[in-house]
Amino acid sequence: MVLDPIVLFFLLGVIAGIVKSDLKMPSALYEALSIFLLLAIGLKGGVELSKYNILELLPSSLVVILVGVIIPLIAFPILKFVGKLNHFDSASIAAHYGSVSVVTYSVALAALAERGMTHEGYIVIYLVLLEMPAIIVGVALARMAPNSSKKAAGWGKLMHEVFSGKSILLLTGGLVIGWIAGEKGFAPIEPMFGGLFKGALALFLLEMGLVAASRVAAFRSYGIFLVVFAMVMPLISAAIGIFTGLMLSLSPGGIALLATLYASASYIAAPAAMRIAVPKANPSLSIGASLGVTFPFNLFVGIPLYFAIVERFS
Amino acid sequence: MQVKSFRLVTVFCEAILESLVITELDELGIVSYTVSDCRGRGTRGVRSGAWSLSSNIRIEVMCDEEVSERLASALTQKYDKDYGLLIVASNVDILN
Repeated sequence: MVLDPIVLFFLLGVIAGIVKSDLKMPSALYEALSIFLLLAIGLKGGVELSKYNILELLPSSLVVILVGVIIPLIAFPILKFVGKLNHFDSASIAAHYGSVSVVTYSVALAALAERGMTHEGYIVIYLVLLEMPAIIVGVALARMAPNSSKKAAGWGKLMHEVFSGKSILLLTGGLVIGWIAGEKGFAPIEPMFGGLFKGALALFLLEMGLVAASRVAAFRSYGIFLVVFAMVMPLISAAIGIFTGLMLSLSPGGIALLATLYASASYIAAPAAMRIAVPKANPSLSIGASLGVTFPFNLFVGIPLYFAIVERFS
Repeated sequence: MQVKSFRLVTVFCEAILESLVITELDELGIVSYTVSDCRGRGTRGVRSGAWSLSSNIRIEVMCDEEVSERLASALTQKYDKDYGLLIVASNVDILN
């Protein structure tokens, strides 16, 4: 198996972190790259979307959201009763695993292009839709705790945090702009948002490697259960994703993308929302698991595996 | 020249608390504040500032003694247990 060069950038970042290199990405560059990636994904999805009738996508979107709600409900009892984690940590980690990672999705997109596979352009809508439901489920689970504090931030504050967060705003904004522009309107800005996409993703992964390396060090003390969970849960979610993709009769490329989406764990939107909504959950646990273990696992093992399974069956 | 004396309250906290602390300032009628990004190490480990969830901020306000105590007790009560939070105060004179 030949590794995609962008994945090697992630590895370089991890190595830089491990050897305590003085390499540090300026936080302004990190911000700029994440804005670029979110807009680029939204725009390209919007252009694809302009070829479809949006109303026809409604039933499949509802199915996709429903599955997005089920995944944290599967993760929660595993964390609480098998892993013996406390109620708040279990709810918070479940939300991270139900929500999705835009960068993991981007790497899967690059893998699709590498294999010359096509996919339904509207799958980017699922990316937007899947970010929130699991976060809401996670907060609801946390609030069910017997001694849950009544002072916790209200739902209004949380909804504002999620909906006004830059990931939802830029993805949705890009989608709408791309949808309005269509193929012809997008052509003049294509070199910026299409051609440069993979290079920008490579740089972003370098930074992710640096951050992941710093997380792994802190994560060591949390025990073997969470490490195993962080590798098994994506496999469970991917299996559910493949089944859902087959049910919706997606193309092989579409099924692989949907499986990757479900298998990915959020480490940007969910941590920020959970920190506000469930203050008693330890953020090092959830971010350590999603960014330190699941993200690299999906990069090196998960995505190639999901693609191999889908290719075998089609 | 008349010198005005105040308490300078400095709140060091997780960047994610910014809007929540500012809501608190609004409720106490504190209109002016200064926020700056910062990083460092404390009882909760290194806050590297490498990305939003490991970033800290420093919020500085000037007010009278009574308001400063109300601010400190409100923030402590709501956030001290679950978040990284440090509140310090000193006496300052405004010279202009």
